[in-house]
Amino acid sequence: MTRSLLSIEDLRIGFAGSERLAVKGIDLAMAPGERLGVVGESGSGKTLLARAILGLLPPGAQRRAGRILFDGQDLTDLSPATLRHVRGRRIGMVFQEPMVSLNPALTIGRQLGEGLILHEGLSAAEVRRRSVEMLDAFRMVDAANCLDKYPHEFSGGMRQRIMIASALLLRPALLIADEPTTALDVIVQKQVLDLTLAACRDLGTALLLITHDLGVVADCCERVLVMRHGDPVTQGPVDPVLLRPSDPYTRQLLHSLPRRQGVETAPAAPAPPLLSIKDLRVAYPARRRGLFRRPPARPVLHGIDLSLARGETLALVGESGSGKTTLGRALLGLAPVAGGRVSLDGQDIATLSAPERRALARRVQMVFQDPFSSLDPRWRIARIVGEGLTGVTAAERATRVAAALSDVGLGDGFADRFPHELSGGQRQRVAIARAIIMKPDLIVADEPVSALDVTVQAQILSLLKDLQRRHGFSYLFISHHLGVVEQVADRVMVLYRGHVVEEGARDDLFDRPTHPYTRRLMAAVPEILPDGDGFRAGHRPLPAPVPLPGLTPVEQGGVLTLLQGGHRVRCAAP
Amino acid sequence: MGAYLLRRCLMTLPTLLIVAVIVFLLMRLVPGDPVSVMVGDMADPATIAAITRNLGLDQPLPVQFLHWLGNILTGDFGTSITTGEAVLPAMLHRLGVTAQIVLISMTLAMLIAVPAGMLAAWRQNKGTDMVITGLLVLFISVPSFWVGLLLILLFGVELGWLPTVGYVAITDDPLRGLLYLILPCASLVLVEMGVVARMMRSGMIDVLRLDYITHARAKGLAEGPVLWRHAFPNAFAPTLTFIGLLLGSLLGGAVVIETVFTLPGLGRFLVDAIEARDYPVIQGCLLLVAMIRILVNLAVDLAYPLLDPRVQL
Repeated sequence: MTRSLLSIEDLRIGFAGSERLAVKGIDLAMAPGERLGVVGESGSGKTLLARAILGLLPPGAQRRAGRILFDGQDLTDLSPATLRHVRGRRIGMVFQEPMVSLNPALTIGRQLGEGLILHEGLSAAEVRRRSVEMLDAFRMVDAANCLDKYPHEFSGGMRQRIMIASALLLRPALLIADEPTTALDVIVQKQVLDLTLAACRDLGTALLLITHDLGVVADCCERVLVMRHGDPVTQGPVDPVLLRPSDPYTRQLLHSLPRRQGVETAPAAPAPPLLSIKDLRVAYPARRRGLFRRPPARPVLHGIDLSLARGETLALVGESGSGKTTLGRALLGLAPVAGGRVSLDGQDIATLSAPERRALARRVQMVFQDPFSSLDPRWRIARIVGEGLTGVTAAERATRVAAALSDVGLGDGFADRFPHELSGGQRQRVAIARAIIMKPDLIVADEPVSALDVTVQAQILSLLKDLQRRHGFSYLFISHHLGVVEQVADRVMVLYRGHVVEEGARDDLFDRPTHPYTRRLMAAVPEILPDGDGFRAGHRPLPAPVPLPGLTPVEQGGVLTLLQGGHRVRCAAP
Repeated sequence: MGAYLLRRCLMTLPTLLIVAVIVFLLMRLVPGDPVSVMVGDMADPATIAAITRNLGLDQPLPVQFLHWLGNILTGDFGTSITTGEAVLPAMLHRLGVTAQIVLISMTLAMLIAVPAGMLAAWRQNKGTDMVITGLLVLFISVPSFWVGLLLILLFGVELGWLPTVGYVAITDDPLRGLLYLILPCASLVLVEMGVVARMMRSGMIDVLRLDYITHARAKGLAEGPVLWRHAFPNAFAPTLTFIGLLLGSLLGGAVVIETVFTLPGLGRFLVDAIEARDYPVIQGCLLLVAMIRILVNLAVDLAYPLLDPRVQL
């Protein structure tokens, strides 16, 4: 075996005032230039492991035992000043949230240059040259200009590219990336990962990739370490450790990955739709500029047509900024509608009086993405779930709350607890109970499982499906995650910059994606697909593109054209 | 920026008009008659009627208001009923006294409190933090007049180093003027420091948790640059808002301190005028105080983009 670059021996990490260990004896070794993935669900200790290497454990966390050898030097023995010499120069680190990992108050140039000035003592001109060169390598347009801008002037994907460029600028021997693409859209994620891997290869930098996304690890890494509750579960080459797993936990993880199940439901009988949206337009008012002038409102949705039958699940797919969340909010009257018609059960929402609208609002309930901020931390679960019930006796309320909680699989014991006493998955169950207690016709679920671990996600998805079978409501399911959509949706609509670019029954759309954007979206997801006894990493195979006249790569116009059986795609107007 | 400034200045006009109406009505609605205060109980009805007519107090309220507003717009705030002084110059003179002690003490307080708050946050829950936080709580809980009295007792009476009460304008006699400022400023500093440092500490604790701080450390930066270059600008913004509020209220009159040290400041001017039902002075002072607050807030808003490039004016 080659000399190892990083070797961790029996690392144990605990929190002050507690005997329990959060990381329980991890051993790992990395060769120069190697790519190692560390996967695990929340609470597995993977982030603590990453932070411990540079001595950047969060307050309260302590290394209890173990050595961290880097280039033969024990990092845990170094004085703070010597350790600072390793940080940045020999080991670079990037974090998950591109929105908070760059300092909003300093220009990009200053943040990029800092390390070069500190560790290499370069002149200002040289720092600038090196920064521009690295940003160019990360395909930043007009790199020289970027240096004088502030982080908020860039999108999430661009910030993450800047961030990784800044870590690689000092040509470190090791890059530690903690969930570097989790907050990004799939197409951007692929671009960032491809650029990072290419840069690491060019510089000979080893990559320690911390992630919960098994597909990303299988796509990017040579070896993998699976962690659970601080324990190392298994370690070794991606194939076979991840792709033909022998241990039960890794198998469970892989089997929890969302994928298509069963046959799609038969097309609904031609009953009047529950929800019908015609030519919906939403525009947000722009900021006032100058003394009195107010620029025209910024359009977010450009004429959306949609209909949803009772008991049907329609998924809205798209990247951030595509307008999928706005569409969900517009149904509830929470977005500035600039035109079009939304009708529920044949009633036009715009013509209703205020009390009628409130009554209608009860029939449409919402489940949000973040189970931590969507529940009031000062309220007990019973109060949260029962709040929407009005005009019922206390006894009836209690009965219905208990029924709703048991519907979502939470026993009696939960009614008196507070949200912070619950896990993420349990909180999301509470949010669902809060919605179904109103006996709604329609539930708008905005990324309901994105914040959850894959095993919990699988449970919540099957719960949602099960509740729908029992109560018969419809879902408008908003998600950026194609796998999740494929598992739950009957029909799918793909949104791009406020336009519907393609829609159709699930199987039609996933088996015959036609629009270039839909195809890019599907090609970007690194997946782990079942393959005989084991699994196979890679990207979804796409059928040959359909030669369709007028199918342009970027569609700012065009009309939806019917292909077959309700499958429509946006083409240039004939 | 220019357009923003202009719009903000125009927006202050309705605010000031509302303040003017309220101030005017408030004075007319409270029971008590300034004329009888002026001439005493013994004056005969004819004299009272004559004075009332001279002051315009017999006119209908709207007429009185428009008349008063017109005068104010031309810079005539009237004359004090009790002393006969012109109100505007008297107010400005007293504002000068208040501004001196408030601005000096606020500058000193910030110089001490900001680093102290940052240090406490950096050493959160360690010994240093406990000591600093403990002292801050002490400073906040002790009333300013009591601190003032203790300082007078120690430095004025016991040690005899500093003058106890009174005021000498710095323009008249720089050295003696300075000596008279030391004690009032010191007692204000202690009070201001406590709140400013607590704000700074909590703002800093929030910022130190963020990824870009860890990222800065991961680059190999020493703690000094991490704290001052990366954390300070982001942590200082909420403190600045608070300093603005505090400054606005103190410039409107640090009444307690002015009373303890018998300084001829704006706050005491107003309180004395209220006791004497000196309508023109009360109205003038209240308007001036409102204007000061608006201006200080405007200044704080304009300073924001320096700390946070995301804020665009």
